Amino acid sequence: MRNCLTHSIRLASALLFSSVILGQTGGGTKPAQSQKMGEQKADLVHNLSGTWGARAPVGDARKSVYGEEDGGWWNYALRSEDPPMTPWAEEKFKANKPSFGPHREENSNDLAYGCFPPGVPRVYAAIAAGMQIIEQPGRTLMFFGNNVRQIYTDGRQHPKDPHPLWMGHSIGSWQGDTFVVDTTNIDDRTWIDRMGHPHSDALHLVERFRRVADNTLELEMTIDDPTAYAAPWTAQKVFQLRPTSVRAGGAACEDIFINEAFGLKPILPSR
Amino acid sequence: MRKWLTCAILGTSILLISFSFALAQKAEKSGPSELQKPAPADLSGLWLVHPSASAGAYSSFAFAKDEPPMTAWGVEKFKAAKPAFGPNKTTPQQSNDPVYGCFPPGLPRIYLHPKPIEIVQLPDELIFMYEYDRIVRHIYIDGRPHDEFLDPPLWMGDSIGKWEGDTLVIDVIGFNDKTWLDRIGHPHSDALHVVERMRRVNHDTLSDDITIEDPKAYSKPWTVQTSFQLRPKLTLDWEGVCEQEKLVDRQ
Repeated sequence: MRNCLTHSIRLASALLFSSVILGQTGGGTKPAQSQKMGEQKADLVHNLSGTWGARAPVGDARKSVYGEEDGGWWNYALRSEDPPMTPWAEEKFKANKPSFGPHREENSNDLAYGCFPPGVPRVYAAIAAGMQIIEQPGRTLMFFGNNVRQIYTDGRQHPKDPHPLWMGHSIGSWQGDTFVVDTTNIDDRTWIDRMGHPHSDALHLVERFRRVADNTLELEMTIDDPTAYAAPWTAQKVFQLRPTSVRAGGAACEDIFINEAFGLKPILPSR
Repeated sequence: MRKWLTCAILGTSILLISFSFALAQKAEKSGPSELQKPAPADLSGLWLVHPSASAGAYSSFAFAKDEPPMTAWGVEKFKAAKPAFGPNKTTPQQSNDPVYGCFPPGLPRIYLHPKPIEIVQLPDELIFMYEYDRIVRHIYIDGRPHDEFLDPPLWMGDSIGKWEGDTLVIDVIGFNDKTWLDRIGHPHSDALHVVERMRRVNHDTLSDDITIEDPKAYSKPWTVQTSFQLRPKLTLDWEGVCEQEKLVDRQ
């Protein structure tokens, strides 16, 4: 199973990478024009609407302490090396049994196999990461397949009496040309990535989105969780605008996992 | 064997997603210009299914009181179904209703589960967010055709919409055959073709005429009707996970 999975991901990775190259060189695009936003398009800076797909890193950024397994570190991690875990997190990390990355195991206890929501920022730790963003008065919606984030932009604060949510509680605001999303109350049963890095209920995620070109969205995220990590750390992701003809979503979880998950009985960690 | 199959399906899915991404990146940017004119109606909002009073007691598990015109194939499937509702009901433990396996409910069955639905209307698509089973359904109204390369087919089908006057006509194909049409086990095949005609008959009411066509399961197309009421004070709860409830059931 592992071989098949690894091969298919490698193949997908190769396809994706070649597609990125094709996308960048085909169609007679003029980089100078498409990369720098003209003044007439300045309003796009404050408009993140559209469907975005993750770009694979290039050059040295592809290297990782994890080696080249499973299609590259960006298919299962947020960055190319382990974040600075506390002893609490080390213990959790050892107990987690991911199916991706250097510590993958055949009998995974990854909640994704039970069709549970992935949480944030894990949604970004995949080759096929991507989201549809819809901006509306008072809120920005982000769709990751059937997983929805509702980012409030109406000035409200995080709830005072927090209860955990699968995708967290998010508030957003524009700071200059950057859309800053502040998220707390993220259910601590989710992992921070697909290789099993944990987080606690104290996780505070800040995402900074910048549309640096018509078709390019940059994300810098800061992960602050004093229970799990000795210091706040950051990770970057770059997204490319997909044509509107691309359908959102993809295969339903139930098509991929559910039969096996039910045969094995989903494993739900207690709080 | 099962693992191999899962792996194959997973691998294929990853490949398909990547491949569609690759194709998309090669394709020219598409942006239909006919979308500039305003939509003839606005269906946005939070809605709750509200069958008419005449629908009576059966409205919680079926769309019509009378049996639809089943083929022999349809009758056989219907007899094999063990629903937990309706005249032939058994216990949930003995039921073979697919939703008890946490499979998505399919269409139009999802409207028999009284949970809020939020409609987000955009120039090129409408997004239906069904709280029941956390389903997100995209209905494209930008003139694109159905996706002919659906593999696997979809639990909620492939939805293409167009405006006819102030009525949104949604054409749905590309279903798998694993769902029931209602909660009492009326079957369908993968040839199912659903047409929904949605109209905001007044500010607070959305009507939906649903035509079901499936020559393998039914000898002729049949039409049912349901409606929804605007409930702006509701909030969509996106936290329910069927699998979690199943686990609790087992403990």
